[in-house]
Amino acid sequence: MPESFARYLEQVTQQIRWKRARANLMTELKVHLQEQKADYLAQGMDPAAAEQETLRQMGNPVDIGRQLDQLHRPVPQKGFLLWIVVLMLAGLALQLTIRAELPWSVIPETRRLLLWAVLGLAGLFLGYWADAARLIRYGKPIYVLAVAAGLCLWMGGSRVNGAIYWLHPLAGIYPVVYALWLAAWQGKQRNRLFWAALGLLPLTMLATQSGGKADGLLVSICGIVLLLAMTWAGSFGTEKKIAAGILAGVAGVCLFLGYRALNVGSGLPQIDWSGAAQWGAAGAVSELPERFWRNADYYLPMMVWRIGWVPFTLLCGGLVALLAASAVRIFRQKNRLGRMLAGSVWLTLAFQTLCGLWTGFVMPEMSASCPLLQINSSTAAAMLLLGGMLSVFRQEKLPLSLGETKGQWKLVYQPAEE
Amino acid sequence: MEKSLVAGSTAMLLLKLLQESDMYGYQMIEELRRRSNDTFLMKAGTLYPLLHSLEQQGLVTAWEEKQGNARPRRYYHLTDAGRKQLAEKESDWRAYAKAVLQVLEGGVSLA
Repeated sequence: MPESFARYLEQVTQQIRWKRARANLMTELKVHLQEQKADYLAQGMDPAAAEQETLRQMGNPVDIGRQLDQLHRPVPQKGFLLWIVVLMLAGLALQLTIRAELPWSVIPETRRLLLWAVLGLAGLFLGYWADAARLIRYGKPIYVLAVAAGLCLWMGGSRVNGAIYWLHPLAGIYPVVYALWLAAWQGKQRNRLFWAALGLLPLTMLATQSGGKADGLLVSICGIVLLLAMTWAGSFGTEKKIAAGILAGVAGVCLFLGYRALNVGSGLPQIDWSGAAQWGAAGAVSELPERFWRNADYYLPMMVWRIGWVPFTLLCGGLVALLAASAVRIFRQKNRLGRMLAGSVWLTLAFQTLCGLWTGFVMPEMSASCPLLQINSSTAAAMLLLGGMLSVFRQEKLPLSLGETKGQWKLVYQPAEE
Repeated sequence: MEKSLVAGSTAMLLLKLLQESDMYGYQMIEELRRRSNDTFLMKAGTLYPLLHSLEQQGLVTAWEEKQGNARPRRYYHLTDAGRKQLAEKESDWRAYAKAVLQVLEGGVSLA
């Protein structure tokens, strides 16, 4: 590229404050400069005159830079951040209060609760400042690392009642890891769907070994939804019949594994398969046998017992409203990969919330916790994911780069230059 | 031609170009110049901020195409919302142009 062009682009770049926006903008202008110059050369101009005329036609670099800068600014997500922090702090305050009142319960000790809260906040801001484009770019290595971490835990992690304890928070981020894996396999080649789909199996199998019995279903259901969405959008170059076969096969195996891992009823034999008998026998929440309060899995009914239904419903309402508001934002995302990444976070949290509330009151033996309302390792992982989702929202005015051809609509964020 | 006459209608002209086929920035400038008999000579510095603004409004989307080792061209595509907006702007513009012409030609005869 001629020096005069480089200087021009440098002047434009200097006006654009958001570094992540620069790369895509410069690519477009660079191509324009080259095409204009080539046209002038074809018309018989000498190179120096062609360059000069090209720059004249482009206009003032400072003006164009300033205008582009105004258009491409990060969109701060202060409202969402505040919402999440307030919910988490309310959950933490409640947990600390209840723990102080019931010292014999197995709510984690104060120091541990505070540690998870701090880690959760750190995760939230780490995710928020992360470059979603870079995450998508390194989808395959991230997937390999996540599977390797799962395998390490499987081989040497501490076990509680036969389940691998630390796989639970890890399984909570697996749907998002799978979304990154799917993004990495977009393309026209026929076998891409096969590899994209196959990636769900190891994640589901590892998730079925976690302490949370619903984790297998979480990963399989979220994974299948994401896989279907990507296939439907034409992200893989596979014929429809073959695609249907692959999808049906993977979905069948994963759902079977996930459902089998639920192992309903085996935890406490005296509870019927749905767990509903406990409620019938116990009557009001306050009359539930004391022994149930000794298990952290029964924390949600314990919350109702201590604070009553109205504050509890308000707290849950805050969480559901957060999910509803983020769903609206996700549908408005113009970048398909950004939408998918944020969607994978949403699916995970919606599933965990639904599962936490459902199992908390109907099938407490299934051991699912509710994100944000219960401060633990899963909530710390959930906050990291929420930060990642907000990072996508924050980058929604990033100029998009779209790869491949029109038919494929392979959307990619172009990360900031190294 | 006076700039103020063009400024208000530039977005409409770009949307109109894209109504027929997807185009990249340089192609749009050339096409606009050709169709207007060298009347509309748009600078890249005007075009790209406007295109990006239309993209953020959801009136156009973009896609890239790589041709061999060449740098990718960024094509713009008119969305359904853009098509609707174009129809409205076109109708407003025609009504406005008709009114201006009527005034220039002495007004509507009452006889």
